[in-house]
Amino acid sequence: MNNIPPKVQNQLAMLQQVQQQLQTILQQKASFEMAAKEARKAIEELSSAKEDAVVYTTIGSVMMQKDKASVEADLNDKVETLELRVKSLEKQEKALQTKFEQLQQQIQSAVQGTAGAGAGTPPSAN
Amino acid sequence: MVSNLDKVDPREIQMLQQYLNEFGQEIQTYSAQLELLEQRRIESLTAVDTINTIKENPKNTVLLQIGGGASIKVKPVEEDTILLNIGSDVVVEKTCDETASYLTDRATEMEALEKKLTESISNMQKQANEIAKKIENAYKQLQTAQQKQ
Repeated sequence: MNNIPPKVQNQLAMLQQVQQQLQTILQQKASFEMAAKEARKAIEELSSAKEDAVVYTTIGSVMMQKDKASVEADLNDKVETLELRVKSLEKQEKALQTKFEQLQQQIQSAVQGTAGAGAGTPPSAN
Repeated sequence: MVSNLDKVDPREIQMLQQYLNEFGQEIQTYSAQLELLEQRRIESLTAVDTINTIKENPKNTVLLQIGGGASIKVKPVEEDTILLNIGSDVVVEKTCDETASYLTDRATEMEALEKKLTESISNMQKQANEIAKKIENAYKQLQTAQQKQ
């Protein structure tokens, strides 16, 4: 680690940070996608229920009766919001991916440059 | 005879070991998911059994477990009414048959998913075994090379 120039060390730290951020975003995206899928499935299930079906929504530890139409509307809103969040996270993911690749390239070229500069010196024994 | 045996790179072994660890972690995650699915499927099928039993004997007293090994005697107020959670914090009132059909469908879906997961785990296991073999061979080669020196 001592042989790595400070600039590259800094870039490596940034790379790790970007990687962590990417992981967090991917986890969040997966969780939102799951929630959207669940809501879509609930809408599908509700659509097959009778118009006068008794529907409840869970609010904390209590269940409140609501009419089917309003629950459907709430679920549609929920799906819309979740899809927007997924899209926004996808944008962030792309930006971070680009940053990651750029950093990777910078580190690679820096390492190759160091190796090229040190080509004249004899290799150290492993 | 010149062979590659003397040219085993320890970094390659390290990389293979890393792959193996990653595979191990993925297998663990998939196995945990499989266990969860299995648990939920059995739970759904048990619920179907319970619904059918209550439907057949609606007047019978049911023991409702309230924890700590304690139970209270209950009787269904509405014999053919089930409140079913369909996800996203939504609960719908359904008949016994409708609920049983919904839960059976879910159990079938989960079974199909379980099959897919089992296949994936077995594929990953195969790949992990191959990597483990490669590591073993590489270690042997390294040892042979060291003995020669």
